[in-house]
Amino acid sequence: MPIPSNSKERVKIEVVFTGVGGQGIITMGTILGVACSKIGLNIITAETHGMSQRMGMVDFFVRIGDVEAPLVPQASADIVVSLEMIEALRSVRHLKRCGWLLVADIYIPPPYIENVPSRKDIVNVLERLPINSILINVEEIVEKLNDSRVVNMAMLGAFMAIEDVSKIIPVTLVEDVVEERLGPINREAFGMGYKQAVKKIKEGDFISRCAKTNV
Amino acid sequence: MPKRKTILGESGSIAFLLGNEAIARGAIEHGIGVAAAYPGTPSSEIIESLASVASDLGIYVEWSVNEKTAFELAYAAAMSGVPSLTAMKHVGLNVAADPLMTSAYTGVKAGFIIVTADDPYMHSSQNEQDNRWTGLHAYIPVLEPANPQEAKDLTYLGLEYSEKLGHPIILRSVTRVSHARGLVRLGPLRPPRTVGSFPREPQKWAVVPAHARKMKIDVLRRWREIEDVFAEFPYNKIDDSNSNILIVASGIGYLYAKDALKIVGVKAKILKVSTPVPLPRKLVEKAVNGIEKILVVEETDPVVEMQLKSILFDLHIDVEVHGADYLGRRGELTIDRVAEAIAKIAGVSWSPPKPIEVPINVPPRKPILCPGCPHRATFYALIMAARELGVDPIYSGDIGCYSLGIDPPFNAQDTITNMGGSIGLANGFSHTVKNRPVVAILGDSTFFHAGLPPLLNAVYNRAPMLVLVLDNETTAMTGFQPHPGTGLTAMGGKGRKILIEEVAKAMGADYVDVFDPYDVRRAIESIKTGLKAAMDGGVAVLVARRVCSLLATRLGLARDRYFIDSNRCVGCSVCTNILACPAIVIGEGNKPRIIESLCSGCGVCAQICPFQAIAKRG
Repeated sequence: MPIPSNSKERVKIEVVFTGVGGQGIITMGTILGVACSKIGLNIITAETHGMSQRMGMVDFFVRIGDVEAPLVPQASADIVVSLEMIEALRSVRHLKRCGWLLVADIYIPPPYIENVPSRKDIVNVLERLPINSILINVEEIVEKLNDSRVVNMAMLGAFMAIEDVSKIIPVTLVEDVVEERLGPINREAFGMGYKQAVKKIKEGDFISRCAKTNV
Repeated sequence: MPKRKTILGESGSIAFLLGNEAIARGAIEHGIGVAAAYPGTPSSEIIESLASVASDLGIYVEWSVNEKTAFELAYAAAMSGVPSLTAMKHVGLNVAADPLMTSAYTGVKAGFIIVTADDPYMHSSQNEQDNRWTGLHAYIPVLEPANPQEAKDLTYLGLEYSEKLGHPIILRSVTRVSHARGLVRLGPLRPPRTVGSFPREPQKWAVVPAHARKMKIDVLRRWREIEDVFAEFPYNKIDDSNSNILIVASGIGYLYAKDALKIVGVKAKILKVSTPVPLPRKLVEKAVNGIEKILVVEETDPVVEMQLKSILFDLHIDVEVHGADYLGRRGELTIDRVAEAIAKIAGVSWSPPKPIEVPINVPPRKPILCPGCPHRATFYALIMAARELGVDPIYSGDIGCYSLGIDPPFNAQDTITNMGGSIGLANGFSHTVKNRPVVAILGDSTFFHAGLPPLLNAVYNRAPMLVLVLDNETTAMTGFQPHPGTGLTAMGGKGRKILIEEVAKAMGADYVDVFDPYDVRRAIESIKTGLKAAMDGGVAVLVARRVCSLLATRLGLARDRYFIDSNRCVGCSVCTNILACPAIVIGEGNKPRIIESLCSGCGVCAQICPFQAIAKRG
């Protein structure tokens, strides 16, 4: 495939994927990287290995385009994708003002800790922040496909619904890489996440306090 | 596309590779014939990648029992004319320090690259030592890649230079190179060289003092030669800019500097250093021309900074040099950290954007023992056994998943220092602390790595202790590598299976027993007997054997699911507070419930529930 002309432009997208060790976050980045390699678009990622995988917090940094170093600077991410609701709150520190936060409705309270915010608390807090946040009903997708391991691909699909991303990385290209690497069920999950997010963005079915705080 | 195919991709194609995969590819492109390592984050994927294609290429790759053994194996290969690689995490190089120091004296016949994957910020390590010092210390040059592409290229070039110079070379990676993924343009593959020869030549290879004194003279001569050769190293370069500020950036520091300069909007000349040890004098001389201020950007210690200052002093060049004073010498570099330092040296005002504040307390989420982890069951049994005997042991811990036993509710790791340190320190405690029994806790892979000599020492010198080997039949923390207890080899072949209990018996331990930690009552009894044996002056070795629950799940062995019968449950919290399995959470009405998608079916909770409220599903 020839390198599209837009890759010559100075694009820069900074993304953080977060969640709990074991949710398949590294796979999300790998799929994205393979897709970028096919169109010659620069991408560098930084991931967490070893002991941190043991149900601990995981941050995965993705930098695309005109970038050199692997870590996303503080409060600079354009998009944060969180595979878990509590981690979504924690990851707000990576996000720039008016950035997009995509949250899976998966709730995994850390054990042996008191005063953990509830799902409702989390949504309430998100409503008060100067960001755009979309809650993706992943549990619904998991149920439909009867496979709990597709959360990551459903969220990667939702991520591709952000226009700044899909205009430089074709959605169908990513979809094909998903199927090639992980099979048809994951492709389906990816598609369902994508469609759900596109619909929510189009219909304004997301939380945004951005316009008000930005004025 | 499976991983092995990516590593063997066609020349000229672009692959998306992990830094460690890129290192493996660089070694394959050079045509190495041998690779050996002991796993350790962030280095493990190098040998994993090589092992996955070893049979295709006809090369020899192994997981050795420890870093010293791995080093010696690869070193001998290079002595006999077969290019080789050994890889380890930073602290692993300490284990191999003995042969490492001498390898510079003897040199090698074929390319020999020693990869040290350093771990700034200690994501998965006990310290953040900067192994570029080791290069200075050992007279072994150090290459430092900035990203996955350079990780591949410098591995390849390192092997080439090593062979040309007849000298070992260290490749220093850091977490954000080893565990970064990026686009890598692949080069051509040379056929591997796998067979060597070794003519008798003891004056070259045997470091008796008479030989070694001559060798030292040669080492010093080579060291000067290496400095000159490195001044021309193709990955060292000067990015020229019309500025009186020079940034000297080593390895990944170069990337942070480039991004940070853009963010702050400052122009500077950059000297990109890929050969931090030895820092080439001629290159420095060229770069400092017309410069008034220098900022050195490097990850962890001021290794380049100190050499630079020394060179400037010798050259009578008086410029302002900053580095560790502006950037600190701990933790990882970040774009923000480097940007602040650049702003400071350029005298401009800049501060990083402030994170959005979240008006609620976000609970911490630390790594924990997995659902169904056999170590959790063993820790539970250990605590119960000590309680039933009314003793308060010293828990001498070690490096592995079981380090997590340090956290509540177990609090059962009093010391954790280094591989094998559990039994090693227990040797000391047993002679000095008389009123508490000593329990050394280590894993199966760690036992084979560094547990054997101190165990032998304990038996021989009569150091009473209980050695508890948590055998989950794999090296779980680094990603399920095999070891002698598994009877498998890195390349997927059948090895000789070594049983820990047989080794302990052969070493003369006074009491040896094996138990299944999932059988809670039996485990408690076994540990009580072991503790009593230790308190009677003996060395007891207990093997708690049960396969890692993550591995069991992957292998399809974990099929059962448990649930809590809310009619029987009285909410006593024994399961959540004393066992603390992450699959059990407090639900409505303050009663616990099991998240069945997390449950791995170990059944330990059902055994410890005082009200028999937990039962198997179906």
